[in-house]
Amino acid sequence: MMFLEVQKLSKYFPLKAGFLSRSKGTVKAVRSVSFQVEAGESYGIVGESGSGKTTLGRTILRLITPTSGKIFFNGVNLCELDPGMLRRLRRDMQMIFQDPHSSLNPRKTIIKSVGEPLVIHDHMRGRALRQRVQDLMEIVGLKKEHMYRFPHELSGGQKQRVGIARALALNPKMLILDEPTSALDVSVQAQTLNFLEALQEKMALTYLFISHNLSVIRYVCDRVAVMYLGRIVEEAEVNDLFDTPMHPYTKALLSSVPLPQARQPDTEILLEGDIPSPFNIPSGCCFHTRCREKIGPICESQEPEAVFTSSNHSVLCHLCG
Amino acid sequence: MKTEASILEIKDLRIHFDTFDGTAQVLDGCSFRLGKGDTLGLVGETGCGKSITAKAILGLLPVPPTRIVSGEIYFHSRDLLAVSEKELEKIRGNQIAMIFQDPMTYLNPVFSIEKQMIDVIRGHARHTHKTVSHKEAREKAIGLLDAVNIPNPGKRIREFPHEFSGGMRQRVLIAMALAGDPEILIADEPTTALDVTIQAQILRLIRELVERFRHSVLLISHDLGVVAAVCRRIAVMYAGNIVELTTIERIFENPSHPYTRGLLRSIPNLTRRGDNLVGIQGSIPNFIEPPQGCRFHLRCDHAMDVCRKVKPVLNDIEAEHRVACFLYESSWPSTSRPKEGIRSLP
Repeated sequence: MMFLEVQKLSKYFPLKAGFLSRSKGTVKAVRSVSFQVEAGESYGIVGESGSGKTTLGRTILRLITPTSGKIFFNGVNLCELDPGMLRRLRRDMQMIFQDPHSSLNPRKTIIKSVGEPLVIHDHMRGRALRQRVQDLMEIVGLKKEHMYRFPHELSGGQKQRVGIARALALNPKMLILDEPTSALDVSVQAQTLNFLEALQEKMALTYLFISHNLSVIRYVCDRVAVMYLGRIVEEAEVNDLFDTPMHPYTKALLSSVPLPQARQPDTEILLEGDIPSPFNIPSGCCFHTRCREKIGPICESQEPEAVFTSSNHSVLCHLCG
Repeated sequence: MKTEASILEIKDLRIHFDTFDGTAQVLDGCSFRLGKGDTLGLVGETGCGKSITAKAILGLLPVPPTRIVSGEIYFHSRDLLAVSEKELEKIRGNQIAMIFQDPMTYLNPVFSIEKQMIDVIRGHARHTHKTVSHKEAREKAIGLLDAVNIPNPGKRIREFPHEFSGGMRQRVLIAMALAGDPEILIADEPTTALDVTIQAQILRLIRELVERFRHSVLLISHDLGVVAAVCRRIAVMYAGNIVELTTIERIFENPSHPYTRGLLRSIPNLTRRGDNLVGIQGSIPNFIEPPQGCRFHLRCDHAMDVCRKVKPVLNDIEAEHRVACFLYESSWPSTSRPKEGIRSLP
């Protein structure tokens, strides 16, 4: 049994506008996404803005109700659970958000923010609560006196650690990390990434790591899925994906990253134009409007199926079919 | 340093902000020069003073709370800190132009691109006492949009900012910056709000424009990769100081300041998985009561006694490579060594 299994998950948002909120169509944020995550693994989801990676993360947590598809968490389908059961299962899945500043209530002290899940789920109070929060602060490398401070008294990196402490409060099995380091400076990012890695080992956590930063994904993850316009276009083991990318989009994405080195490689693949709107997704292969390796009318008319180029490497492209 | 005439020279710039909690010393003696056709990248983390430096050059800092405590900013041979606001207005855009981080904030949503660009072009013309007709300005605007690779500029010029994508808006802003035919282009995090594939397009555009028009560029970024893709020289800033100033080649071959080394060790590698990230312990200091001596000493693995007392200044350690760190004291000229008396203070 897989730890987390997502089957043909889709999320469409109705777009309403104008008089009497008439429906103007749908924004297809996540389209028929399937993947599996093993226990203890770090699974990375990478994509540009508008690729649907955040919606996917939130849908897996059932913060957003999916339009169709199934999510199996330890064999239980999250889409069919009643609210009470779902709440109990949510203990095992926690989320860490991108912006540590806006995910903490500015009017609550750290002990209140971190302790809130404990009060709600375990009805903890008084000394027990204080002790547990203090332990959590220790785990994330903050001091006891930070407990009684307000978010504005902490630095960005410290606030992100508070967010992590809050997520750990209920001893979850899985963490969904949505761009956990993109609001941080690189030197603090390095500290946080190392800390997350040590934490995973210590607490036997499974990570679903969502990021637009390819180098961070490479550093943290075991397997990676590349998303484009709501679909996973390529999925592979991390070294496999970064060393031998197959999908034209992945190739372009990897070559777009400016490298911190003196000589820039001259193999840059420059994509033309912008990512199309998820409101109006191109026909056939959704990447054909920007693809430099288009093979013909088939790309415009027929949606490609996932092809396995090796046992662990799947690509959504007619080229590889 | 090369002997080419510098068109912009900043000397010992010190800027303080008056706040309710005290005086924040945000820029603490920053000096560098920019030559003709030179491309200099200013790199550092949040709060190190990169944007403040850029804004100070154009006189865009609000006074108060800003106090420019000391320093000079020479543009050709004029001190920009001494000229009148009216003079400065003629320089802004015409001779020194700026591209900002978030293009939507700098475009007016209620006017078409056409209206905004024509205003800019005619405004620049007024400052140089020329008259440009509406039609001429429009033609020039279309030409500029074409130069920044906006497809179908004749039609798109009539559109409004919200009809452009993020990358296209940044192109419009670059076109506006080029309108006055400036000598210096200051780009403050020009690609931070953009996706990587779009960032690659904009960086290539900036590279091509620099080659074509021979602008001098001051590029501000927190991303060493972005600077490496565009610039020839680099200045690494930390807490209001330039700690290392050298060429792109030397910064990667021989990073010398402990902060630069820490920064490079903090960046995850895209092309290879392997070495663990090291990071830099601690976080940036408080600017109201900054550490004595070298502002980096609290986070530095090599901190010595002298670092806690005396502030190091930029000194040559090799050709075109200046570092502000006492580790390299032995290679300094004798005049810039701190006196023994200071070193033996308790």
